[in-house]
Amino acid sequence: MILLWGLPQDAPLRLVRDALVQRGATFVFLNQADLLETHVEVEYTPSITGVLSIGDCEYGLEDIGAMYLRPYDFREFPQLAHLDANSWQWRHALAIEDVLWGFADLAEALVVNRPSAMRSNSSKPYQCHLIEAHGFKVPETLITTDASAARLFRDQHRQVVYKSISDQRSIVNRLSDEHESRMANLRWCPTQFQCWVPGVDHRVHVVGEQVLAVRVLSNADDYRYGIARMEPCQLPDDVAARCLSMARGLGLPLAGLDLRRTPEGEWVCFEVNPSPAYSCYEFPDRRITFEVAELLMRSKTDPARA
Amino acid sequence: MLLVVGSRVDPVACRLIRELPEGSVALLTCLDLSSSGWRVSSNEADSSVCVADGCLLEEREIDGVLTLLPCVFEQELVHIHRRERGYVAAEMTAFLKFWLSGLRCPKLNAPSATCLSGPGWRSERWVTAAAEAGLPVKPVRRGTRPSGSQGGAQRKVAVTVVGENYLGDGRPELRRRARSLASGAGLDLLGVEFEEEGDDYLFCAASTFPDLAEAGAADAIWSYFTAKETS
Repeated sequence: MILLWGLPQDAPLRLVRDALVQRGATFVFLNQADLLETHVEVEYTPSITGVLSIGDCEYGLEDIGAMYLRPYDFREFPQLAHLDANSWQWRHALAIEDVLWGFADLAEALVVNRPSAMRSNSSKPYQCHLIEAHGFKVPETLITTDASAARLFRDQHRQVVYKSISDQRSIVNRLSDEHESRMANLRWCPTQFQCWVPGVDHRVHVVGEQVLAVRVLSNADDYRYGIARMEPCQLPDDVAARCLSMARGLGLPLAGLDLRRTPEGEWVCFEVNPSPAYSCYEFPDRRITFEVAELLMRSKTDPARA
Repeated sequence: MLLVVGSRVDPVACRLIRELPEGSVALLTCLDLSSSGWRVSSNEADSSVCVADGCLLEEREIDGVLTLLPCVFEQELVHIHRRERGYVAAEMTAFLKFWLSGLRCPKLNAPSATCLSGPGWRSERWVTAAAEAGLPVKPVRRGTRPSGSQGGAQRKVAVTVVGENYLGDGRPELRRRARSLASGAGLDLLGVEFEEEGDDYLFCAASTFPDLAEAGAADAIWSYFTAKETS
């Protein structure tokens, strides 16, 4: 049995659910909007047994062979947003998340992706260390609370971007003279600056053993927030192998990699997204969805798991 | 210089600092992260500059780090605009994970992607690790329904591993078990709790933020770092 967890309107989850329906796969859709009617009980002895209850239906956790996790922040759900943090609804929602994340980290099932493996993205420079270890170049970076250090970095590199260090408000912006009046604010919190890297963006999705790439054509500093055209492309074999090795090394059966090919032909990796909203980059033949669905279905007979 | 990453409102951190040799310890708090002077560059390894106790400190001056926080808590960022506290706390935490992980000096404990000290495991992960290390364990039940009575309160004892030293219960077998779990998890600072069951004790909990309020904690920590310095 495959467990899908998230919201029906989430595009990647909806695409995978439809693909599983087409293939006749056995799956349970744990709709996050139904969390108040959901219960989960798990015992670690340390072997794992337990029950997931959704309304009147019960499912043995031991029967779950694969999981695809795309939950959202329940605090923004209309039925919960207005409630107090101490309300039983919030406490229940927190407990559901906590117990399911804990189970997802330890279940013998194939998990796309395990919570602990996803955490490397919570600190981008921390993740960059891991990326470098897999043979990719990463942009030269300065993190500082010192306006004079930031100015010096800009003077050295001429073109500099700034972006969040954590996974919050993750938007890339170009540093310009207009920011001068805000430089004094740097003292309040360490801020990340990176040397701007010229080149063509590539978004790569690693799904199991498959490496699927699109070339992104855009003039925006952060193409996710500008106009962009995408075209499927083939990566050089050595780059594809590095992508695969990195996703494996980070423990991510599904990963979205942000690469840029410089005019000199070097490949720079900016980030590995452990919960990629891949539908924005989907191929015309829905290749990524196909591979995710196949990955989840294959896990039922995964010899490593057995 | 030993750097203690902690909170000024944490009495244990303040007491440890009082008990450690004067002039050899600096407390790094969230206020220091809101001070001009931090410089960490990716192409100049070992040359970062930090702020601790309000003073600039070069990376080569740091001989060790003791981390007493799992993350930067937004509740402590009273000097930041209320609306921005959650974001700033996440940024400071993400920064510390990166910076601490890059320091080459001894750490109690090194950070992970999940936590500023150690792996940040849940209780269920700890019980699995304990069983893998050969410890008899008390099963962990996690759930969303109200749990019934867990039976009468059993006697609990705690052992804290600090490098080669121990705090807490003195039984050699429990210390051996605590050491075995800490080694398996790659940690030099770990608090391990056992619960009495018949004539044995079962593993029931572990934490990388053990109670360091007890006598001897400062000595054990100081010994750990001085031994690392001379080895």
